[in-house]
Amino acid sequence: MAIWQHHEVLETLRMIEGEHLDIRTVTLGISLRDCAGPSMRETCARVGEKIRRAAARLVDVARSVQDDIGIPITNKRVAVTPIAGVAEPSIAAEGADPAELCHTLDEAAADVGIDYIAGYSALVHKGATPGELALMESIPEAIGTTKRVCSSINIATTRAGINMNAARRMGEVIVRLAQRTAAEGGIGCAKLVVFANAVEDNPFVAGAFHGAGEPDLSLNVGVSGPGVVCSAVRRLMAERDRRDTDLGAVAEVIKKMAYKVTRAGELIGREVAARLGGAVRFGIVDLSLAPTPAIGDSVAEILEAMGLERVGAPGTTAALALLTDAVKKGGVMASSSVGGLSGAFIPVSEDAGMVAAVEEGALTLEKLEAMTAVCSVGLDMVAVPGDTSPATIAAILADEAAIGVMNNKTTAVRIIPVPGKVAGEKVVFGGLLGEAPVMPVSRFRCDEFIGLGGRIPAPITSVRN
Amino acid sequence: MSDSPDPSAEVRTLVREITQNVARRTGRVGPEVVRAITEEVLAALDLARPPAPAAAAAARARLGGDPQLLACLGCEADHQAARQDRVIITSTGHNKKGIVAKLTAVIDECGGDILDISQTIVNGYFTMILVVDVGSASCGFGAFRERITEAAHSSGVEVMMMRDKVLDAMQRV
Repeated sequence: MAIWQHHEVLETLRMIEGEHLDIRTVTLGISLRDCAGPSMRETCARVGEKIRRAAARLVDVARSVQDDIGIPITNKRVAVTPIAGVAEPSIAAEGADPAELCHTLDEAAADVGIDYIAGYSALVHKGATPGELALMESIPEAIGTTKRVCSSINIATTRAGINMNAARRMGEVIVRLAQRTAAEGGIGCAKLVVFANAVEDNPFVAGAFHGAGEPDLSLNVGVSGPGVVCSAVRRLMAERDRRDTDLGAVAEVIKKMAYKVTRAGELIGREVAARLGGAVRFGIVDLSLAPTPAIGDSVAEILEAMGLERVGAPGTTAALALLTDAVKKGGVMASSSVGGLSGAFIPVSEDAGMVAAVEEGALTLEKLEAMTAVCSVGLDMVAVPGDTSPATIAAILADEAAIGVMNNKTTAVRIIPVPGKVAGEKVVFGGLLGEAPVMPVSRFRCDEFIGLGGRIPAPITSVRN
Repeated sequence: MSDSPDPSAEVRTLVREITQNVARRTGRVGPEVVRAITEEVLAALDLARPPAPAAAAAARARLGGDPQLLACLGCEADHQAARQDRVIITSTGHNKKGIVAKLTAVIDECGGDILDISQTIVNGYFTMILVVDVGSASCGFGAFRERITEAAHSSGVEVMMMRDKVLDAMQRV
């Protein structure tokens, strides 16, 4: 009774044991819409209570599933309803400071044993309410004085265009947040994402939030697996003398690996959701290849395995397009519940291959920007000189938003103007955030353009009905 | 369930109520009804796997009602148990005498049932893949894994274990 073929068993073991196959995150989405009250005190009490109740067992359940199924679950996290809406009634009624809610989130996250909680967010792509303006204004203090809370602001969509007033404001917020956390290299900015076309079910912190179309509680999974894909590409390339191998074959092998990784993700996600029980529903699998600073867990290495000397070399954008597309095709075949950002992440500080490429001068900010046109997100964990002006940062946000808006995809910026550092120096954040070389930014000014403000109209592709 | 003074009583009541509800709703009793019952019961109990055979038998005895339904329920539970409690054990290392005997003895002691075994030696390198049903094992999965690992290490080989549902998910379309 040959139930399983030898090669199937051995390949699966190799993926888990030798190639870092893990589930990057199981993220519990919690709606806080039922917690908004006219007083901040009451709102904080309700929010704290709901998170502690809903996520009380998240860590234990994830651990039990990991032990039982045998695939590591690296992170356990929580995403909540964008806080601007939750805080809005109390801001209107008593001029409350939304930062109070940020501290409530921080404490609740600590109590349930998770390292990050995301959703100190606002969606302002067409305009901002008083509550949303207050939340954006509070970010340097709120995110700068908490440890576990992540924030995201959506400043553009394909349907609405780009809110350039919000871009300008966020340029200033990012600089202030960096200064507020100057002692730690501006680490606060690693917890702040500025989006275009943000998605409602992204499980990946820092950009996660629990969108308006989501149920009360949902469990979303972010898979990982750059190591698995990289090894498969390397094996294929090693055999290219003996076999007829071209880029079509590379795409094929990536597709197959993405299929397997996604299936593992869905298995874990459904199991965790079932064991959490109650109102928790399994949501989606996010297919994104998410690197970590560990050697062998790098998206850059996959691109290099395809025959590029260093990531950033001419051909990088094409290779990344092939990779992202193949991951999507394999993943979509594997699961009917694909969502989130689903593509490939290219965070500089969190990917040892990207760091090496920047240090060698192979990878520049401009090349990274081009790459974001074909991968899942954007300029991620990029360190720039501390004296970069708010207007220049706002313009970088606008450039990324333009790529997202015009191409009908999500883009994001997580940029850290490292206080006191200049291009060529290095900043160390530690842990999963890794370390980043400070990258030079164009010295040419854009203040007048940013100063104009207003809204860049939605593109013609937005008129689809 | 853990807050209840007698969890098994609560389980029985729940099973009975759900069975009656589903039977009433579908208007007939057959395998599809049973499948529906099993799914609802498992979902309600928030269990990762079906109850142990002994517990299932006790639940059946207290259920009363249609014997055909009960027989099907038994088949379904057994089928589920057989499907869900398979583990794949892979052992590799330099070949020496007694490795197979040592590992299989531990499996037997734990009450595991070996469904498939294959073993090869290439250039003195030993590889063995075992498919074991641990559905009626006397110890939990964690303890089983510990004992197997201990036995393998004492023989100087490495051992890895995984649930077959991982393979099912990843290797089958």
